[in-house]
Amino acid sequence: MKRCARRNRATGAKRGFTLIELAVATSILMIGIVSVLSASSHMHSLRVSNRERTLAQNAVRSMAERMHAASHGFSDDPGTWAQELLATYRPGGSFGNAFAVEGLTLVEGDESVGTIAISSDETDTDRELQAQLGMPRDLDGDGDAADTDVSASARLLPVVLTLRWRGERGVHQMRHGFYLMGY
Amino acid sequence: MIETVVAVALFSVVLLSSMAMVESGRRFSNATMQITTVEDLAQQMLFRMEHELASATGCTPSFALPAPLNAAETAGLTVSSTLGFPPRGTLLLDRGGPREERVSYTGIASTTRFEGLTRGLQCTAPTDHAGANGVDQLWCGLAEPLENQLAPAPGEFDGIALEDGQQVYFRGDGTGFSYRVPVDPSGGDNPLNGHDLFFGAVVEGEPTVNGWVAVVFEARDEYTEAATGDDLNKDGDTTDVFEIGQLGRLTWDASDASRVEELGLGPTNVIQERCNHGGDLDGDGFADPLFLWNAETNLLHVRLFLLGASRRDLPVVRKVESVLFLRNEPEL
Repeated sequence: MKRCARRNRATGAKRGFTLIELAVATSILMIGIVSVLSASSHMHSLRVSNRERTLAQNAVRSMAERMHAASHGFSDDPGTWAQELLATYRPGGSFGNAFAVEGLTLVEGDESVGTIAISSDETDTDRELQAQLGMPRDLDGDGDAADTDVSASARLLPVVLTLRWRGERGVHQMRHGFYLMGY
Repeated sequence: MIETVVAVALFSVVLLSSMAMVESGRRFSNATMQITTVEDLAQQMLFRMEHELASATGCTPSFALPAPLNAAETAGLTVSSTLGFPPRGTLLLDRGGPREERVSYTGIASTTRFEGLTRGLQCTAPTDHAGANGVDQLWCGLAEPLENQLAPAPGEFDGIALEDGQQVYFRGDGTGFSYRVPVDPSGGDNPLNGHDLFFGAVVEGEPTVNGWVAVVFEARDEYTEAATGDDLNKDGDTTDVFEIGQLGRLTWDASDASRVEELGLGPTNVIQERCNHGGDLDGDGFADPLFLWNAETNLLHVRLFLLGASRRDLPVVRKVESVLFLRNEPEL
């Protein structure tokens, strides 16, 4: 019996792989391949997500530039500059407070991907505006930051652009705060 | 024996299909990586342009033909002014009419003369042009909105672009943009000139008020839809030809034609349709000029269409665009 087992071991190298050995090898290979494909898919998802973020950044920057240009074209008179600006970008205004962004998907229930918020209240805080703008601050140059409505005297107004979109990896949001100046 | 054969066959099938999947994943990864890279390059270029153009002053180069130009003339062209025109480029003569012609030039001999003409480019034919002092002739790089946006006649505009959701009629091809930046001609870093600014450019390391800058599309290769049967611009046919190129930044001294600097900018796979520069590239029915310059609002809309390959090695086009506001009033 011992001699028989020894002979089997001695000839083992010539008999090839057993089904179990191949099954184990295949399983290991499959695990490796699935991991590689999963990593590749994850990388793709990251790239798509990165592209969405780039689109969002471009959209925010372009909108900010358009608003600077529009602001530049409004009245030089502090008495009407802010009113013209607010009338343009308020809900129902000539531009409105919402804008679409090509390439970004609307979140269900939202009316648009991009929204514009302009504050004419000097006492608003960064926390309320949800952007780092250094608010509250003097917006009409009268030496204090206590006026709750400077729409008839502002030389400077804080603007917050917000983008919300459904992306490859869920709902994303981007917020950009800046000031518009009366020229 | 049988179980070994079955096992080897099974293993081979798994191995081959796995290799096919990995190869497919690799190609897909390469394709998306390539697209992402060129998009990033375009993005970086736009950031740099925004940084430079924010303080620049835009230009609208145009001229009148004081004397007639006959169809055979190739030595040079005398015009009312070459100011703002890059040291080489293409002119658009008698646009919108039966005598429309695109003429390239290789140099600017003086403030009133282009030299080294090549006639009848971009599917136009060499033709005679009457000399007339009030007729506006254009640099092909320029694309600008028309004053009449309500109902322009077909010959008055070269395309309709979509700006801020509004249709905008414009003239020109929009393959470039010409501008000047604040400079200190004394070599320092104070460009103030009283209450104004000195504008010009840094040419060969020297700031000069005679300096100009232009960013222009320069074709280097071509892509034909017929080669892959792919409708790249989604216009319903596969017969279009596209020029593939790069934006170049030309800086020159208008008072010394020999002083010209060139620099390639951004990705090298920017596309424009041949014989239809500034035309629709994404199939939305609106024109896509590379540069659309509105001198009234000081807004420059830059649209870059980049050609890449999909996972099946088929061409894919990506758009990278931005709007830039030039804070200074245009000089020309």
